[in-house]
This record gives sequence, C-alpha cells and structure tokens, in this order.
Amino acid sequence: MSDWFSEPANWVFLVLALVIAVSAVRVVTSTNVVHSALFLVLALGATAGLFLLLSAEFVAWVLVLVYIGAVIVLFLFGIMITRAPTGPNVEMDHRPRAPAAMAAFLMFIVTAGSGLTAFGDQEITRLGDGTSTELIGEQLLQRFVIPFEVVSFVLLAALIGGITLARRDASPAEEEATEEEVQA
Amino acid sequence: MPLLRRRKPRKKRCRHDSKELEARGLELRIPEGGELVLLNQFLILGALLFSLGVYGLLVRRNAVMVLLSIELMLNAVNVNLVAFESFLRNAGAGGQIFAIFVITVAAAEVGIGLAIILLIFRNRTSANVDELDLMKW
Amino acid sequence: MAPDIDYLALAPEITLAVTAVVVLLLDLFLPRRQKYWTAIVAVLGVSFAALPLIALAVSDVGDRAMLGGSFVVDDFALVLKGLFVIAGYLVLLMSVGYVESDRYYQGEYYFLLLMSILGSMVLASSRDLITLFIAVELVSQPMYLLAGWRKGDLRSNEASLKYFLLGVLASALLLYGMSFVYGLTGELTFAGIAAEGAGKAGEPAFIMAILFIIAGFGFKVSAVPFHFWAPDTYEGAPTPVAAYLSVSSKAAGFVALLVVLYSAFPDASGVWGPAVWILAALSMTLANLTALRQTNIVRLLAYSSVAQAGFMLVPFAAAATTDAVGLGEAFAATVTYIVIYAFMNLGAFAVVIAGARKTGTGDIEGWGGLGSYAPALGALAAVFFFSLAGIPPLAGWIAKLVMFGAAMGAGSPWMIALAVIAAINAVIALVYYARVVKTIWMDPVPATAPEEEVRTASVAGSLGLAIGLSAAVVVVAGFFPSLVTFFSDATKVLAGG
Repeated sequence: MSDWFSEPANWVFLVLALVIAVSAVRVVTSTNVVHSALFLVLALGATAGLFLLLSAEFVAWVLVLVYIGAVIVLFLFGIMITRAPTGPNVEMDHRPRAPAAMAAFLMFIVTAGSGLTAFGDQEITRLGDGTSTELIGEQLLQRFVIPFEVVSFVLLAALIGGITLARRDASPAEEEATEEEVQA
Repeated sequence: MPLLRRRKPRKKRCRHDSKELEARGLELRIPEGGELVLLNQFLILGALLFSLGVYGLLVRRNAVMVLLSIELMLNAVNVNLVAFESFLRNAGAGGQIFAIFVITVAAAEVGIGLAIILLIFRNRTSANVDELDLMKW
Repeated sequence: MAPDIDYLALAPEITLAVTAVVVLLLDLFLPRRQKYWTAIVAVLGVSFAALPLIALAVSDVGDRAMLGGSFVVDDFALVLKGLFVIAGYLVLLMSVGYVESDRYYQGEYYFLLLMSILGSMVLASSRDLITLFIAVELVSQPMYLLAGWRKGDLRSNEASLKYFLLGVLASALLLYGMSFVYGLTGELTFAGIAAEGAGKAGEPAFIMAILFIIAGFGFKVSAVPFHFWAPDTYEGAPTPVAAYLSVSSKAAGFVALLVVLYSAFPDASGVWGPAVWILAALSMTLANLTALRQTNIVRLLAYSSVAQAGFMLVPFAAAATTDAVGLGEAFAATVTYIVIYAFMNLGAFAVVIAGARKTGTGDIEGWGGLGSYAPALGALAAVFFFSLAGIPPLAGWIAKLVMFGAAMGAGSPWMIALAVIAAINAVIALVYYARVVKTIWMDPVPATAPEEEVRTASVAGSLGLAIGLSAAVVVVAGFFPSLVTFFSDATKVLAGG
C-alpha cells in the first residue's frame, strides 16, 4: 500500500476521485436544482482531469467542451425556463430514501465487485503512452465512419424534434392558455 | 496541473522507447510512470458514480434532477471506457472513441429530455415526475 | 486514405437518409396546404430503399463485410432490413390520414419516423458495440419525441417523458455492460468478443456485463420487468407511433439482442439462457394476466405486445440448452415469430386507428356493434386478433407452432416447463382477444356511439391499404408458411446453423 502512495499519479487520482465522489453525492442529495447542476460541472471537470491523468487528452477536452460548455448551459436554461424551484426545497425527493439507498448500495457491490474479481490488482502500465489524437481522428473517419455518420443523424433528429416539441404552438387553445398565464 | 504538464516530455520519450522496443521485437512495457496505478481504482470510482446515479434516479422528484442523475451514470461509463483503454492500449483506440460517442449521444439525450420537460411544464406548470399520474405507472 | 466502403451495401441506408433530408427541406418550402407532399415523398423514399435490398439479395457476392467487420450485409441483415422497410412503409401509410387530421407538424413527423427506420436498418448490419449502440439510439431517440407529438395532450406528454426517462436508463445500463465487455475482451467487434470471451463465460464480471446488456435491451423490447413504460406510452402516443413502437422498435430491440447474444456471446449461453428464460416466463404470464383487466383497446394491445415479446423470447431460452443445430432452429423460430408478429400487430393497430375514428372512443365497450355498421372492418379486426391469439389457419398459428417446436426440440425439463407456461398463456390470451371480437360482433351498438355519418364514413385510402396489405400477409402466410420460413431459414447464418 505504501508503494501505491509512492506513485505521484495516485495522489492526483486520489484528489480528483475525492472531488468527483463528493460532488456526485451532492448532485443527488442537494435540495437545490442549480447546486445539483453546478456540482455536476465539478464532477465532470474532475473527470476530465482524470482523463488527462490517463493521457486521454482528446476525450478530456471533448468532455469539457461538450458537457461543461454546452450540456450544463442547456441544463441551466432548462432550470430557469421551467422555473423549477431554485431555492432550497426540502421536498426534492419523493420516495423513501432508505430502499433507494439500499438499491444503490447493491448496485455498487455488484458493479465494483465484478471489477475487483475480474482485474484484481492489475496495473495500468502504460499510463504516459497515450493514444494520439491523430489515431483517434483516423479511426473515427475510417473504421468507425458509419457510427460517426449515423450519430450526426441522431443529433439532427434530436435538434429538429426538440425544437418542434419545445416551441410554442400558434394553435388557438395554446394562445388562450398563454393569455390566461399573462393575466394571472 | 503542473504535474500534468510535467508529463508531456516524458510521454514523448516513452513513445520513442516503445518504437525502439517494437523494432527489436520486445514486449511493450514502459519502464517508468504509472507502475502502481491500478485499473480497479478507476473501475470502483465508475461503480460509485453509477450507483449514485441509480440512487438519484430512484429518489428524485424533479425531472431535471432525474436527468442529472442519468448524466452521472453515463459519466461512469466514460470513466470505465477510458480506463479500460489505457489498460489495454491496443492499437484500435476503441475505448476513447466509444467514450466520445457516449458523450455525443448523451448531449442529444439532454436536448431531447429538456424539450420534453419544457413541453410538459408548459402544459401543467410542473416538472415533477410523481405528478405524472394521468395513467397509473 | 479513404475508408473501404461498399456503396451498394449501404445503398438502402443512403436512400433513407437522403429521403429524410429531402422531406425536411420540402417541409420548409411547402405552404401549409401542400404539406401532404412530405408524406408522399417519405412513402416513395421507403419504397426506393427496398430496391437496393432486392439487388443485394439476388447478387451472388455473398456476405459483404466492411470496415473491419463492423458492418456486415448478410442474409440475416437483408431479411430484417426488408422487414423494417415494409413495417416502416405500413406505419407511414397508417400515419398519413392520422397526422393530417390534427394540427401536427407533418414534415418533422415523417423526418423523425424515417430517421428511426434508418436506425433500425443500420442496426441489422452492425457487428460491433459502437455501431450497435449508435443504431439503437437512432431507433429510440426520434421515438421519444414522436411519443409526445400530440403536444397539447397531457397523456402524450406523459407518454413521452416516461418513455424517455426509462429509455435513457436502459441506455445507461446497456453502456455499462458494454464497457465491461470491452474491458474484459479488449475487442469491439462481435467476432473479436466471441473469440476473446470464449473462456470467460464463468467470470462474474462477464456475467454482470451480459446481464446488464440483457436488461438494457429488455427495456427496448419491453419485456417484464422492464415493461412499465409500454402501456402508458402506447396509450398516450399518437396511435401510428404506438404501432411503430410495438413493431419496429421492438423488433429492433430483438435484432440487437439476437445479434449480441448469438454472435458475441455464443459460449456464454449458459449465462443468458436462464436470464432469458425468466424474462420470457414473466413477460408472458404477468402481461397476459394484466391484459385481461384492460378496458382500453390500445392498452390491451400494449400488454398483448409485452406478452408476445415473451413468446418471442421462448426460443431464445431454448437456444441455451441445445447444440449448434438446435441453436440455428431456435434462432430461426424467433425471427419467424418477429416477422409474423410485425404484420399481425401492425394490422391490429391499423384496425384500431380506423375503429377509433368510427366509434370515437378507445374503450372496448364503445366498440359494440362495430361489426354491424362496418362489417369489413369488423371482419379484419377478427382476422388480426385471432391471428395474434394463434388460431389456425392464420399466420399467428405458424409463429406459435415454430415457437413451441423450438422449445420442445430442446428437450430439457426446463424448456418443457417453459413450453407449458407458454401454452397456458396462449389460452389466457385467447380470452381477451376473443372478448374484443365478441364485443365487435355480438354486443349492441352503445348509446354513446357517434352519429350514422361518422360510423359509416369510409376509411382513409392509405390506412385501408395498410390494413389490406397486412391482412393479405397474415392470411396468405397462414396457408403457405414456407413464405415466411424461407426468409427466417436464411437468417440462420448468424447463428452458424
């Protein structure tokens, strides 16, 4: 164990893992939606750090750009627009917590346990020798070109459908409803 | 960050070494750095994130919060994939590419989810999951 | 260096993708009154997508694999792509009148439907984890949105949110399982996983990964206990979307399950066999018992489709206990069931759309006497519902026969037990299917029924065409089962049978 601590990369890991764990706990326990979203930013940011430690630079920056740059902003917009209670709100959880905690604990035993039994104390021996971004790019446009093209359709469908669904209709019933809202 | 920056030159040297070793038909093994970093420390962190996501999913009322919990679960998958990729280091880079795809799909999912939540909110001014009771679960 | 791409093999997908984009652009430029052109273009595009499929089927090149075996066009893929194209075509026909009759966004509706069909086409060919995952997402994500397409209707909103949240959860489970499969084998292609994973079937982590993947797809095929979303989503969603969910989306889930279990984990059948056994037994029993109590016709069909998913899983469970030949038989049995189910269930949904227009209600009680004022529709309803129940000589009978054959052929006591459970359930199912037919033909017209003009109004042409085509297949395949088994036998290539 003392060997484990002698490796500087493990100290970095420990700090990042602690940040990730604490902020993940806060994401699911915070009584404030905005805090939850911001803790998710912290968890994702620390995860990006973890990816840098594993010398997966490209994924790390994709995570920062896509998640922290776009997804979380989307979340915050969603929270603002739906006027979800942004202040502390004790009634954020609806079901009894004990059974849910038990289920989550069981899930942890299963998932962590299977990792432990399968990989024991095997080491990541080539930590510094990362996959180059060049290789990722090449692979993405060659071996994985079909999923790469298909995922663009996933995004297009989400974009078109999302706008259609979320935009306000001009139907008479809808207009009446908004008029009432304005008056109220 | 300084520590991470320090890694850069080391990385280059490693790559050089590995090429030389490969040329001589020897096993690829980088002598310094990461000797004692276990794969399982990442997998356990992934399991923890996944389980916390499950907890949040079961317990949260607000649909936005449920979505945040699901993001935690997807992030756990990314941690696993990238850790496995550095563990395996086979020529394919499959793990990192998989992680990029997961991030992309998750972004699309958030967009769809928020559109649906927005729609529901407009119709009933609430985004709570347990008020969806028109039809029994 | 450009990737090595066989454009003929990709032609059906490219056709659909181009059609979808054209539909979207047309929608942008067409004035409101001429939006029906988007439907025509969509239907034409799907028909054109079938042409390269035929060309591929008759070409003697054999299996076309590209991109390191990630994308394979073999007989299995072609048969299922054909099914997805035909099912998509029928759903489009069903949608035409339905979408026009309300204030829908037509262009976007067809665009999303085409996207989902495109996803299922890619799915049938995908032979690695990434392609499979992305294809599954392209099948599901447009459906999350289309389930909520009746924007002003709270039920539709709710249908959409429930489907979305459970669907995303399923994706997360699936991905977690996939990440472990990748970590344990170091491979992404199914062939590689099968080779590397051969000796790992007993490892707890491998078992966990397989179970997570089964759970993830269990949501997609709506097998008990992952079926919660199905009845609510089917009821709330626009009915053609529900038809699509219950047929194409479910078939896509099954295709993914078949491909993953048979081609990536052939040696782990001792793990997934029992899991599938449990899913099959639970789905059949619980769904059938719940269906008995349903009063809404769409909810009834929803529970019936969950139960049918259970029947489709029976040969899967059998596969785990037999040798290679039995494996191929079980595989073909599932495909046969899926193909026949697709037509009879689409027909049933099409009849429900037409019937709901005539009776003005989705409550089964309100359908009393439908047979007296719409005899053709009543007769076709009887055809589809009796076929779903598995009464000879309709096609559903062949599906049941093949399914029981695979279960009994396995010969193990567990499979005989499952066959007995399936037989009991087939009888239970007959009760509620027959009840609907009885209501249509025997019960008096309820006082709440709409006026004469509404009741006798003719069914929209495209909907009638959809009903007619499905009915023709259900009847003809019942008399000539070789029409279906010819195709399903061809799919055995995947199971190595």
